[in-house]
Amino acid sequence: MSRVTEHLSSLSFATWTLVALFFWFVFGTVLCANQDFLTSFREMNSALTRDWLLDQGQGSTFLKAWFVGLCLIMIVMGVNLVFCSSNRILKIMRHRFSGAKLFMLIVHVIFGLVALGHLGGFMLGYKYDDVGLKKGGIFSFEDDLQLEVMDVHFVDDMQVLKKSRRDIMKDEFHHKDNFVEVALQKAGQVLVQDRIYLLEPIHHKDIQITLKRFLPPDADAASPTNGMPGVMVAIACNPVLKAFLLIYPLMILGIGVHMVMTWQRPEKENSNGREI
Amino acid sequence: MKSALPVVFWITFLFYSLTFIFTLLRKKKAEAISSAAGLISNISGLIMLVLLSGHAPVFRLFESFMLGAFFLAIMGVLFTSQEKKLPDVRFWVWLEMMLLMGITALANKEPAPFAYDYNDLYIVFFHFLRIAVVAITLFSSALYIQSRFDNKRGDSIAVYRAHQGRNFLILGALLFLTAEYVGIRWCLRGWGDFWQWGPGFFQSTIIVLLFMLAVHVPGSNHGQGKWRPRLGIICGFLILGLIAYRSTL
Repeated sequence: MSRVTEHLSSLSFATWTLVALFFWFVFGTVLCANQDFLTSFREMNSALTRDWLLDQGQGSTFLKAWFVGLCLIMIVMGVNLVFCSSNRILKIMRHRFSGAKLFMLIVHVIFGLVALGHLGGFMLGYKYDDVGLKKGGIFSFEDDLQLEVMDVHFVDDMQVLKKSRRDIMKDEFHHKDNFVEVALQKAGQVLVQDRIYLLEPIHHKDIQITLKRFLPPDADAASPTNGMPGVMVAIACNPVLKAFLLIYPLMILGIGVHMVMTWQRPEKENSNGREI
Repeated sequence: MKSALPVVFWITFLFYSLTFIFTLLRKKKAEAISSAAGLISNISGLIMLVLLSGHAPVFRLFESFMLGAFFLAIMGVLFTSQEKKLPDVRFWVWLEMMLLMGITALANKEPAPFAYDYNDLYIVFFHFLRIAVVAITLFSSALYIQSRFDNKRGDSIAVYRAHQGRNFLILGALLFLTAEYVGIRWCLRGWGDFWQWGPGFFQSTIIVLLFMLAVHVPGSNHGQGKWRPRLGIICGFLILGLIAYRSTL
């Protein structure tokens, strides 16, 4: 193994990458303390990160640079992970099989997949975060798909809709009685029609339709939906979501198995710290 | 009953303080009695919180730190004992308890009002796991701190102690990642995406990275001047600080 690959697979390289990532997120947290940057971060949430990044008219240039920096650090970490894992595979093949080491290798590989899952969530599919609709309202999006709000059922006092989501109390909002009936259609054909509740989205293949909140009714007396609340929905399609939700618990399980396997073992004097 | 909550809290604080004092004085029996009394008072406070609010005591700082104090006390009683010399792990655990209760003393001593989604299992489980992580990582920090003292004394138990610190640190990381996974499911159901750019997610990522750093830094778990035990110590306190900060928002 050359000196370069040895360095790229080393624990100290991994450590410095983690340190860089740590401070990158600390920096991100500091930026959030500024109201302008916090607003810009919220803008990031309103669309798929890829679209936000590539749209030159949208988003703070500074935050885009921050995000690109984050991606670069993750790429460096990925390089370290690939070299480190391939080294471990070679060592396991050459030397005596060790269950704990094998599990640690599996955890590292799954961690890489989880990180890719995050990246996939940022870059693949599409996302419409704050789609405001009223009864009868239609929103058209990718692949000639349309979301129609068939009906809005709201039984509680509308005043509660002026509150933020976290300030709404249990006796003010009857979760099971307030819902929206929606239909996902393509070329006039209904693909799925169902009720969505807060915290209970509906799915069609990789598409998820989520009720984010009810909106206070229009003040305009002439409006046909006068007196009826509107709704804010999120439409998202993430083709890697199912795989991501499957591998994440596998990573946790792998860490758990490794922890149990090494719980009793007295620690070796290990200058390079290969064992955790 | 609501007005009795602060009284129960101060009684709990008093008993845990007495436990700490008796640990310092090496009075085993008195320590056992006061820690048992503290635990009973702590459980009473938690039961009162549940009865008053109707939800799990995991949402605001006061109730969640009362639960965290209970977990830490249980671990202190079950996994440590008074040793020949001071300081020992038990000393550090009760000292940490003083810190935890001190922070709780600053909080409004009332249960969180029952928000419409506080009976959602994902939300309850997410907060519950994070509180468990605070207690477990504080316990891990106590083991790491003691390991450093043992090392200075030239006591070979330092290696074992640091390994136990590492074990509890990984257990904390495991539960924190489980909390994150539950949080991902919650976020997906509530906002339609598993990631939101913002301070809450950044702080969670900082905690995950801290765990990762603590187990990846080269060097042994127990060596003097090594970063691994230092990070092991820092983890518990930083997580305590971040979760206390988040609870106040």
